[in-house]
Amino acid sequence: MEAEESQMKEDKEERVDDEEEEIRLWSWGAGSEGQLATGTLEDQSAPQALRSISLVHPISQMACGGAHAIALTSNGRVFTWGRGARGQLGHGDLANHLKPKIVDFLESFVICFISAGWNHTGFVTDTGRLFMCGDGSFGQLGNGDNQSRSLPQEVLFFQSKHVVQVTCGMRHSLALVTTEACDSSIYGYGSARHGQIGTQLSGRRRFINIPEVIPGFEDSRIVNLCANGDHSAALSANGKLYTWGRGFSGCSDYHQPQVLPSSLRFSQIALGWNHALLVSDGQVYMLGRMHTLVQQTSGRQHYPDISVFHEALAASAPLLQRITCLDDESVIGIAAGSEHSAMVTDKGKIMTWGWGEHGQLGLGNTDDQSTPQTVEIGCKGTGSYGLLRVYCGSGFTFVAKHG
Amino acid sequence: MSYDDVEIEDMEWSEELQAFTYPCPCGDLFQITKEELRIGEEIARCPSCSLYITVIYNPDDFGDSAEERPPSEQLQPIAVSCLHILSNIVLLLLLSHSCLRLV
Repeated sequence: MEAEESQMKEDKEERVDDEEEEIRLWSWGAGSEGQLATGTLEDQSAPQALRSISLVHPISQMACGGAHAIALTSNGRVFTWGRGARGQLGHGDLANHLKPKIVDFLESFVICFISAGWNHTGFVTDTGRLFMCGDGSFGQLGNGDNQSRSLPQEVLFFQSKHVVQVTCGMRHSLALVTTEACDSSIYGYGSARHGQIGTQLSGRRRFINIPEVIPGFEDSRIVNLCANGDHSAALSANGKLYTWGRGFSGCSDYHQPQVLPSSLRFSQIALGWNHALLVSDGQVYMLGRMHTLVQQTSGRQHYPDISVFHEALAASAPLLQRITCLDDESVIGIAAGSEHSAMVTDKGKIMTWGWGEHGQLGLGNTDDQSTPQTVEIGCKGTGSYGLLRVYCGSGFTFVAKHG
Repeated sequence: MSYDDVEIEDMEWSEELQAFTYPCPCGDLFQITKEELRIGEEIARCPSCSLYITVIYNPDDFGDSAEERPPSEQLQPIAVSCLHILSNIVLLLLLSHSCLRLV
């Protein structure tokens, strides 16, 4: 850690000399637990350039949870900040941290994938081991009990398996495991209340604290997992979307994965607490609805700029809507907070819409938006547009410049 | 408009806040106290934003006749009436005793 800190200082000194210091991280939205890494607890309705944060190695992935955030750097190190009340930051205490702090416990590992849930966190190593910390009340840490942990603990169930991805929802977790033969399987654990772990539990059982395989993926190779709120989703290599857990738009809960009936091939998925965002061929689609937009549009009314994409869906299936506000731009990244959405295009345009009460849309106010609006982050250098990615926590948003 | 309907068994008891809580999409917690449930309140509010949820619960579980009620409150009336009876008996005995003496 000392080495890393001194490197950070050196790096900072070098950068001070350079007046055109390159900013690689921006944040806005709810800040009451320090999740914006601004060093304060204030909400921010406009993008904050995080000048003082230089992590030596560039950020390769971020994850944002209920009120905490994680940054993974290209050398496999992990930094966490924000709410620590359940041990979700992995520093061995329950304190909030207002600035990124390296997770010392994982220094001897190379981390290659991270996820942040409401109050828990998962880390996957390059050798396929899975570590978790934070709130374990619903068994979402997967180690056979309901204890919370403030230091990352290996999920022993996966010791003889190879984990490649983890995703954390409000009270559940999913892990993607692959075999040498390139077969994939998904395991779920934690709260089963809305079917989010893909298993119908018997009797009055409401959770499982040891991972169980989710049936239904025997014939498909899964490449991407996503969980948020009480929803779960997976994308297969051939672009099929599976969803389970809480139903969208008032549909009933699914305890088994369902394939979305669509001819589109999806390449990315992001989940909120009541909606899902999907990318297919550079276009964005939405399932369900963000809460605030339900309030604005009564009954069956639709938003003016969003065309409804019927696709001959069964009446009981949730409606897929195409977000039609982009002219010659292709979407390369999406993110969903609990009730807001963000996307970034190949031309580096950041757009947000949905609930804005905490400034999480970054538009300089706290208004809600029913259609995507452009956020000005003031990023310089047109050549690096393709390196921008968006990440949403429950009520906050980050933009990171990768590479 | 209520953000969601949440059953009381899906809420978590917080010793620190002395309230039942449920995650709010803003990152804070919807909260409702036992006292609020006792008087029939069904709205749990978030201290940080404008959203609120409707709590689904059986009022009998928290009402006046509920077992949830602190034992001291349930026992108090009985104890008081017992004391009253006892003190009355003592007074009567004292009175009768003094009356007998006078005779």
